[in-house]
Amino acid sequence: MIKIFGYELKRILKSWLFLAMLIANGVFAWFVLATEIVMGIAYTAPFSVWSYCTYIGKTMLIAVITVLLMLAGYYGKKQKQVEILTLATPITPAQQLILRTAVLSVCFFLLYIEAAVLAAVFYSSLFQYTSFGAYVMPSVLLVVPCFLFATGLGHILGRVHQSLVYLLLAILFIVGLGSITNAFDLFGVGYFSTYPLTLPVDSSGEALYVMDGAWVAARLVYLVIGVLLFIVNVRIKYKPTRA
Amino acid sequence: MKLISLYRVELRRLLLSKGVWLVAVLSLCAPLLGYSLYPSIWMESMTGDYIGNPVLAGTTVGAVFWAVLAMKESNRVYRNNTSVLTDAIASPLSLSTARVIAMMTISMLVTCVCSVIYLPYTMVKMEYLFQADFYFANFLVFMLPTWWISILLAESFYQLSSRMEIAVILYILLVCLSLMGVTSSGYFEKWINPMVIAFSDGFVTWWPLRMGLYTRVTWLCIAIGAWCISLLAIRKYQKGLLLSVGIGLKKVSVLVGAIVFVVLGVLLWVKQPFIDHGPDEWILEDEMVWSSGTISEAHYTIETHPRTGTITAKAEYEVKRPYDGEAELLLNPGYDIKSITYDGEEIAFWTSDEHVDGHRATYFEVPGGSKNGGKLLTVEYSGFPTLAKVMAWFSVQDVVDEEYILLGGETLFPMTEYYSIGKSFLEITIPDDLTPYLDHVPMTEYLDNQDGTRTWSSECSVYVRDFSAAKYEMATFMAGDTEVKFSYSEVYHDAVEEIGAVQAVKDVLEYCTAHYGKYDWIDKNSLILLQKGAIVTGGYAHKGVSTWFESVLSPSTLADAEKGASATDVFIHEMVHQWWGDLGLQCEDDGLWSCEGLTVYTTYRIAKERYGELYAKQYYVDQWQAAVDAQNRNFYNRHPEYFELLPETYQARIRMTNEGTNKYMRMPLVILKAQELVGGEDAMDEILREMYACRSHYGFNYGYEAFSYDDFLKFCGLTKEELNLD
Repeated sequence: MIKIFGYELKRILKSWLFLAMLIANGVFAWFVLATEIVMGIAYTAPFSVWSYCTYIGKTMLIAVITVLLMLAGYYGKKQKQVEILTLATPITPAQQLILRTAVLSVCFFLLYIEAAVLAAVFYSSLFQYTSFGAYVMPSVLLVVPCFLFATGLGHILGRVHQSLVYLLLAILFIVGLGSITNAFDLFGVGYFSTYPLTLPVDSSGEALYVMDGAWVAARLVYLVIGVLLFIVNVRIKYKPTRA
Repeated sequence: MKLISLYRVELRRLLLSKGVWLVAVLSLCAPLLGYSLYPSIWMESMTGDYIGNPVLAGTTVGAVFWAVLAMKESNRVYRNNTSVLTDAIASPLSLSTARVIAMMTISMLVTCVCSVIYLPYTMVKMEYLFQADFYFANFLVFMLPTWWISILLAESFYQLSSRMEIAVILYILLVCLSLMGVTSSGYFEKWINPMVIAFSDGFVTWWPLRMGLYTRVTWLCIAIGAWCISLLAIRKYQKGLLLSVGIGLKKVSVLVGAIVFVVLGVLLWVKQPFIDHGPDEWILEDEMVWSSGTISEAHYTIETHPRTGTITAKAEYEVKRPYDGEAELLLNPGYDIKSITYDGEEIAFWTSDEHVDGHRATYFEVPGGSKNGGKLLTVEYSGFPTLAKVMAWFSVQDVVDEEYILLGGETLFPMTEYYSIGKSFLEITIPDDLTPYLDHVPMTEYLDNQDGTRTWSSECSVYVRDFSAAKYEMATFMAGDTEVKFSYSEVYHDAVEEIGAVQAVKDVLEYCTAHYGKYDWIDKNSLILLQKGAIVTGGYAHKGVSTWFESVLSPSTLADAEKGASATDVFIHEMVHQWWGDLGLQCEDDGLWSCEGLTVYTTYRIAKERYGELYAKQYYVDQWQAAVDAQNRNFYNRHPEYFELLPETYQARIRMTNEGTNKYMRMPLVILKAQELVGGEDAMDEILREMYACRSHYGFNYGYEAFSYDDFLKFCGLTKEELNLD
């Protein structure tokens, strides 16, 4: 199982799609940092949790797009053609799904790490700011539910038809543009750039970071839905279809 | 294989190449840079912003992509070590020709696609100012030929050097020459980044495009010549450069082609008719001439030819007392003097080769000198007005076009310091759909020639600074006791109607006159407000005439929320600048205090009077307050220590935002606070009236310091601390 995971991961990481998206993610992340985040989000410092989470929300869109493109590949014509061979292996479809999701999570994580490292370089070189510990909890709450929800839904839709994954990709892209500003904002771009404006400020005029109950609840909802979708995916009996 | 067959093969091969598609896509994206990152046109106008800048950015950046492709494709057979095979099938000369033509074909297709892709966006943004022919012409004049030039030069460099790295270095050097320019007037050196100073929206002239086309043709000839030379240098029989050239010289047709095109290119460059061949700097002549000659009357008859951009003209002088000795006439260097006659007899004259400050001297001597007076001196001249080299970087002046004519000084008629002239009269023939203004005053008398032209006549001054003719519309109305002639290009007809510009001008004039005092430039209860095109630099105001820029009415200006709540308010703002600005009270600009603060405040007061207090509060005071609050909350304004850490680019951006907020939002709030402290609107109006009345004591125009914030505080009797908003 671990060996297959290693092979699958190697295959995906060496693919042109991942490499291209890794580069695109890096360029986009730096562009966001250098043009928007540097000015500070919602009048807060560029290195505030609000600014950082807005930045991560923006780059997460690229990460989700990458993961969904890869996921769509699992439900493509080529994969269906080799299905008869993969089904003949001792790996069950459920195990295969877990394996693939694990590979996707590594890719997603790598893309996040790339963005986080760039932010760390940016903050430390420009502002000599290195207190990154405050970012950990909000980042986890932002990133994990987003991944689980997108891949869970992607797998379900991919089973129906590959094109539905692309439809999901398009919908998430529109959502990611930041038009939703309430706690249910999946990527958090709209939420993190507007919520601080409603908060009281400290003596220096800065809106301090507070973990909003509604937002945490919304993240947990996404997390639970994601996990449920994953369980449903694992439990549903796989029916091979003709290529 | 025949060339046509080779061309087909090459075209098909290139169309299947991923590299070509990548270059095509990148070239299609390149115009995007022109919208913000790589603006080329100096003067702001909608046509410049949405047609000129994207096309020129696409031209320059795309040319580099095509050059990279050309070098890569030239190097391909050598890189793959297949040259032995390809040379056996077809001659390298034919292969190079087929490849270059195929790449030029593809670049042509990409240009067409590019023009179609950007069409909808341009049309939407430019609204009624969009002109399809002008839009497509830009792609054909600038983009396509430049890409071709780039392909040919890149291919030439590779063929000459047979080394990729040397070809790249040579190409980069040539690009640097174009981008940086060796001489200050290097208009023609700009082969990859064509220079366009301005495109006008309402006063359209095609001359920038014609000049651009001329430079493209010039460089295309040079590039074809260079490419022909490079064909001679294609390595043969494993020989080096010189021996290969020696063998290549046997191809007489290629050699002749190379010489013809290079010579043609150089001739086109040297003999270019657009910019004179004078020095790069002003040569101020300090020699004073005693005007001992006397001319009682001068009659100038000028016929314009918009199709060719030329004029034919005659200057007739009734000489009362001729100048003793050789007199000098100054004319635009583009004009040739056909004859000079005195009393019907031709007299000798000679023209200097020297061009100085946009004019060229012609010398003549009246036979008999001062004793031979009382006769008619006639000078016949014609030609194409050239731009003074010293002015080439500033503006496009002196054009004769179908929709726009602008002439002045020595481009209208000869100037001389040797004769004093009594009265002068001008007769000028122009297309009948153009309205002429002589020194900004409308000409009124004309004769319809029934051939699509009209001959306008008027008395004129000895030196006419500005003759302009365009498709003007004029609204005449009374503002108080002043008759206002509000002139604008007919292109803005709908905009003027939509925003109620005439009423706005009336309101501004009435309001400002009543509250601050009579407008300076009103003469005998008459005022001409004349719109000028974007290609004209600087403003003008004199008794009875005041100019305003066409950008005032452009959709982008009217949508600028900083200046007013609506397009009408923005227009009012711009008109109020006639009181608070270079033509009225000149204010110092210290980043906070400037004419903008007073202008925005006055616009607010006019809006309050027009639409009521609620509107003025919602769209002015509340907006100012919100912007000031945002500025106060901005992280870098709260933490200057972090501001210092930012690179200069970011600091400049923040400073610029702050400056905009300070001038347009904070200062009006400060004036509003001053209004409260001095006792209300009436008291403030009285202060502003006093300030305006003292305008002749302030401003660089009058040789004094401009009106400062301290002056404002003095007039109000307040201190900086009292007006502090924080």
